[in-house]
Amino acid sequence: MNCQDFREISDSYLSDELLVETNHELIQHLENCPTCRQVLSFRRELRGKLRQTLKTSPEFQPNFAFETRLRANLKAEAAGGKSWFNLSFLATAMTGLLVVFSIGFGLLYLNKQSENLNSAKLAWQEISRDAIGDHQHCAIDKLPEFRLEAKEVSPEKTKFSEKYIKALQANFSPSVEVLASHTCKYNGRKFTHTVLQDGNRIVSVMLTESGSASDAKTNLAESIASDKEKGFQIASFKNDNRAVFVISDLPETENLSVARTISNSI
Amino acid sequence: MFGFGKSKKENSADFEIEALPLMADVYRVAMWLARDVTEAEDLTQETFTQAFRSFHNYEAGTNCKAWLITILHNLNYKRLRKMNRLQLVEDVDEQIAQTIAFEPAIPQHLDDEEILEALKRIPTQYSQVVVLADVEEFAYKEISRILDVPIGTVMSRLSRGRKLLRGELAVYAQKFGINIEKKTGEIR
Repeated sequence: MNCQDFREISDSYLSDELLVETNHELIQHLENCPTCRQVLSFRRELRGKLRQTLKTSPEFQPNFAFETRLRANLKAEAAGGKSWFNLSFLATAMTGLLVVFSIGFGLLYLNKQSENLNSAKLAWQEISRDAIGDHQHCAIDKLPEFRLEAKEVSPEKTKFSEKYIKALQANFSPSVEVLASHTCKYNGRKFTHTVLQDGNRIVSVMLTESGSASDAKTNLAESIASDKEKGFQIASFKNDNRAVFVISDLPETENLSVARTISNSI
Repeated sequence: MFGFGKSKKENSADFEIEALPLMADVYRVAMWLARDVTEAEDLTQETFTQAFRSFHNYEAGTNCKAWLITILHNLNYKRLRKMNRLQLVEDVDEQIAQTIAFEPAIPQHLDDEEILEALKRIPTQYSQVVVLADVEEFAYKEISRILDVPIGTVMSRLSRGRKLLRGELAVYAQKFGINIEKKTGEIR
């Protein structure tokens, strides 16, 4: 072992980290090298002095007031009953359970909501089919028979239809007229049915109780749905608890436009 | 197994026996890390509060001081991050090369203040390993856990830290006319 080797491992020697054989080599070198003995002595003294300095320097000692405060804080911490482990464990467990239940109920709720919505959509489609049937029956096939039956509709409902008829006349043409206005039943469902005419075009405006189907729609005019079935354009929307259908052989945009005018006016 | 564990009273008694006597040791390291009384007190207080709250994690019979100092270092790391004072480890190889050749011969001529000043001048990542190893007498493995760095890193930082400290003391001693024996070159 030379002096350079000794310097590399002398700290490990002081920390008692060397193998027995290496220790022997180092001691042999020290016996013959006064410089390295001095180096080792210095390093040992430095380490001791460093330890002593930090452990005794007032700068690195906690003062009495702080110690008292720390102990008091810990006592206050301890005065809380069961250990923090228990509290935190219980809190975590409760939070976990709450999350699980919330997710479970949330999924059930969403599932139920989804089921309700699907059911309402089916109900709406059923009403829509009845409305088309009624349009075919009253406005197309039997129109001449109903032309003069407008009196069958209550004054309140007549007043209701007057609102949108005026709006339609203003928006589309002053020549829009009521061909028939009556209450009729189709497939057991009751409709308040107004048949409008402009030129050679016939438009049915039909109101009926929406019932459970109302969940499928909102009250917003923007939610007007458009469909085509049996050669007719059908625009439908919800107004309070009523389903409103506008059925005609007009192009889709025009039929929708009529429905929007009616929706806005009522 | 789920259970309610020890009562707070039992926990407190154990904590008082195992951990509280180490308050001065924790404060000393906290003071070394923070270099400020208020921050050192906050760090020490927070260390003991956290240690008390998680005392069920402490394995009786193991090194409680190492466990406390690990908590302290984690808190200090968070503190530095919060203050945006974490610095990259700078390359001190050149500094070491300039200082390694000197070995002050008579360290007893240096007083406590001079030693502390020399230690403070060393980059923290080296001085903290020197403090943990040579002052607090932790093993490499314990320092590795405390600082969350590999043992090899602990060993290299310790070696560099000690060399830097000796270099600082040599420079200091030379400045004040203390007998310095220059060992460069001729030592084989």
